[in-house]
Amino acid sequence: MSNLRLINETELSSATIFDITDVFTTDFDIYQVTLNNMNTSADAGVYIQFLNTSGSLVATNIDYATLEMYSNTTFGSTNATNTSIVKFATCGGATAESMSAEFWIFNPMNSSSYTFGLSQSNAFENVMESHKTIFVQKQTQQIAGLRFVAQSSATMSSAIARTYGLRVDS
Amino acid sequence: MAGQLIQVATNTVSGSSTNYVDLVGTTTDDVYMVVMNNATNTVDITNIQTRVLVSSSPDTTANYDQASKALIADLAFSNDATTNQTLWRFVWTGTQVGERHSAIFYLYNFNSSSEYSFITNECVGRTNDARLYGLQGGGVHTVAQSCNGIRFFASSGNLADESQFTLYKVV
Repeated sequence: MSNLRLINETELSSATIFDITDVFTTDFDIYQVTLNNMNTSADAGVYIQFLNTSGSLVATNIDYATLEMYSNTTFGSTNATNTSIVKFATCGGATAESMSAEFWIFNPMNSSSYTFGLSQSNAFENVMESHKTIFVQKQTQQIAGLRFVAQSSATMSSAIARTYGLRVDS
Repeated sequence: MAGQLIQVATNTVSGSSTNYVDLVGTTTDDVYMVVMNNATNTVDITNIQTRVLVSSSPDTTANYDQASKALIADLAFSNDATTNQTLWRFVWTGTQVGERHSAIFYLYNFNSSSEYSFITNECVGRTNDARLYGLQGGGVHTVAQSCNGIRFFASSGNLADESQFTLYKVV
């Protein structure tokens, strides 16, 4: 049996906020989250935020760094410290210009550790844009879920987020 | 993406007297994945370093190459590349609260006696100066030999309590 266990599958039809709540528990320390086929109503950056066990936003003390790789031009980067949000992708607003991503989240429910994460995304926004991101939520409070939002409140649609827990059998 | 991840070996450091962790079991031609979680060293401003295991012993020859992009939260990104070293080093450690590291490594061709052993690294953590830092790239050990595992060790001092390393087979 695989040590990677499907915990939750959440489908987004159309909204400006896409929450996956209460997917992280004390049963696992390591999670993989896949986000497939997100569409946005306009060309937009796409961000994640963190939700606590009450479903409320934890919008402080976030550091992140993102490498932006383009198919037709020089690579770029974006980074920030002590911010409220992590930019991990872009998404084009035209038909068929979707975005997909993978995340690894470490220790979100460990109340003595910071929450760390890795992600890689790929999208088409006029050109292909692939991003690699690292991030940390610099508090020891428990993180139970993720929020996806798009730049300028663009509407997101058609996405499926799947959350897996990775067992470590001692 | 993985179909299944089957755990092969794991070690969670307890206390402060463990210098290295060996993960043994890359004994088929499958791809393997290593997850490092919540790891650091007992000594500030040191490295968690890595070597392949040959017949369960670390290969210390100068045949380790690696190249990564360093993603950093408060500085310009940089390139990190070395050749013909005696080890790979993916992590710079700190000892303060939150200065821990996690990573996903994929291991390729470790079992093959006719191919070099390759590794890809996706790392995230906070360094001794509380800086978010992570190397994204890969490495190779340029010896065509069968490697049955991988070692993670502290460059100085020991691995810290609760540092965890787990080897999975990707099937």
